[in-house]
Amino acid sequence: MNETELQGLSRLNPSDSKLIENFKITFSPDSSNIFFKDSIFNSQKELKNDIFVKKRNVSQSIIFQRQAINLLKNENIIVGYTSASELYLEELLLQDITQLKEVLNSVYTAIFSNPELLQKFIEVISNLDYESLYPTNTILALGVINHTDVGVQEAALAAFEKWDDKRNLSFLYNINYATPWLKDYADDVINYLESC
Amino acid sequence: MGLFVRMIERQKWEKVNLSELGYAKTPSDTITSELRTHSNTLSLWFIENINLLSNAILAIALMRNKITRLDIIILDADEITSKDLKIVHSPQNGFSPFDDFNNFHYDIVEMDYEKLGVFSDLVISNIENKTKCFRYNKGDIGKILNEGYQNGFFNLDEIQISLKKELEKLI
Repeated sequence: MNETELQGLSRLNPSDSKLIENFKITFSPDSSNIFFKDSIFNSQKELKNDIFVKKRNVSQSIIFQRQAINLLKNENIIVGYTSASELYLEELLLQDITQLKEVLNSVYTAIFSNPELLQKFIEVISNLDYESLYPTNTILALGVINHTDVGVQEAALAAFEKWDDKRNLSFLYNINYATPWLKDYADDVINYLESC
Repeated sequence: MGLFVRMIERQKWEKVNLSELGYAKTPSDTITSELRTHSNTLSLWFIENINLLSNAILAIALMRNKITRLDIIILDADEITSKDLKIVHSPQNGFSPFDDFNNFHYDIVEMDYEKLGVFSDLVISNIENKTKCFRYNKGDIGKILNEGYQNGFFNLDEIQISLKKELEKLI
């Protein structure tokens, strides 16, 4: 062994000494990194197997949840325009409405503490077919209408405005709104729903 | 010199909320979602005076595919040009089914990092002004679209299918 190799070995724990005999060690002369090629290879194989096993256990709902959150994270939701997230959830609605409701609940729970995503989510679900998703959609919007984030509150109010359902008035009468501007909008939505 | 109108989402600029959340300056999320540039330009609609505002609202509402709330900010032309923001007439970028009004489309061009900040400050300084920043609710937008249709300002076949379906219920 040359000097570099010996210096490298001195940095190993005593318990690693057995490994030295079994694996080829590559020293990087300009750093203290030591690569156990075979060890890495084996652990990668184990990791692959582990991932494979886990993958098989991931439920379809979790896969849908992740896909929906990824879409929400990676797009700008613009009021008045259809989003990719909306199209994705509409497709799920056509396939299996029960599963969609499960996905909506799990996405909602997962992102509740993230106002940016939550605002986008409420905006998106407010555009999905109201009657098909009632009352899941109203419960989701109601759950955030007192949210501290003004964007989330606004999205929930706008959802009730879009749904044109007078039954929702009873909720809107009893909310504390985050800013005067939002209170004005709430009054506007209440007047609109009362006139429906 | 006239007025320029731009669609915004008011809640993303809500000052009271932003200051309560500890933002002294405009958050980057607001800039990246609200000031989306295309070829380094920002879209604006021109009106001679406030009485013509419904034309700009109609032009914007017809480009969307849902009848829903719409926030706009109105900026004086002088206010924009005094900040060294360059405005060019760009009817070719209007793309509204309100065809006659496309001739009133303008772009702020050569937008860059600094100019986004300048424009953002303009929005922030006008956001609480009730003569400069308006929200049209769902009912208002429905009325403006319906009136525009009755006046023959656009053809139903030129608007997005989902908007057309919603509008047909009101006509």
